[in-house]
Amino acid sequence: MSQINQHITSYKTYGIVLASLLALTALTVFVTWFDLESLTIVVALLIASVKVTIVVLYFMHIKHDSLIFKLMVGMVFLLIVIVFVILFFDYLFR
Amino acid sequence: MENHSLTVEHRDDTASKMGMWLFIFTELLLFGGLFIVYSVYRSKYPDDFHIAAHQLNTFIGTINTIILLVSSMTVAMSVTAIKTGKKSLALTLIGITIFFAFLFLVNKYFEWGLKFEHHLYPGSELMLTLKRGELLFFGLYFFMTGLHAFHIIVGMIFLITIFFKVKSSEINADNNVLLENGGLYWHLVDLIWIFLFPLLYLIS
Repeated sequence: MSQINQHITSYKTYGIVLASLLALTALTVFVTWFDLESLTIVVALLIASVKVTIVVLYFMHIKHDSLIFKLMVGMVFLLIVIVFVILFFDYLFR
Repeated sequence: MENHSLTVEHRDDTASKMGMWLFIFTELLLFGGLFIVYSVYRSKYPDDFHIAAHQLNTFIGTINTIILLVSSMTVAMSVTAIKTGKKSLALTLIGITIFFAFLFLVNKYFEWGLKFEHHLYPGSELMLTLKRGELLFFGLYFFMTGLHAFHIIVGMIFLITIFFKVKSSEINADNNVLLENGGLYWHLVDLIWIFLFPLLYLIS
């Protein structure tokens, strides 16, 4: 009864994914040594977003899941982004 | 009439996984709400947040980030192991993940303990003398990392249950959606931390 065409991620892929996540963590700590002023938060969020994308795609297996999962997850992340954008438009320009 | 008893176990792995994802969505929205509170107050009291965040231990935060990332990999690998029929390897990998979860909590204990020693905890007299923005930062810090640590504990219990189910071969090469779902939950805990870490520990 197991699913047909089940994709099994190799250990090597997971190793590479971890290495890139650790590199991004090092980067996000490293950039705090410089004074980027208002850009600090932008850079931090940008790196965090890249890391989250990698985790969702590879560790959470969305890259090899069926379209319905891709759509569901994509839409929820989109919803969160929209909520933040609308809230800040309201908050900052009120 | 003859009594026919036929047990056909109904199993739908896709539905199980979808159920887990729906639950994860509610968790994302829960923390998303907290991140909204954080970002609004941060934009209102940028200087206070700056000063308050300076008092957090970036080193422990970084170590815990590494712990969560590595444990995310080990639990993901355990799925590969069980699907290729390597039961003992899967058990080892799940065991390592649980150990890392425990390590995370130990670090959190020392981190919070240090704050408590400096009389920084919700409702303490020192907290009440802080500036409004700093008070809000520490309030959010304790609540968000506390809620996250609670998720770590739940994830540990989830993984321990899975460990024994793998051991008894209830979870096996053919039937392993529970392990996949446990993995998904553990990755969620990692996801939240990926945002908590820079926002709380690195903004100083």
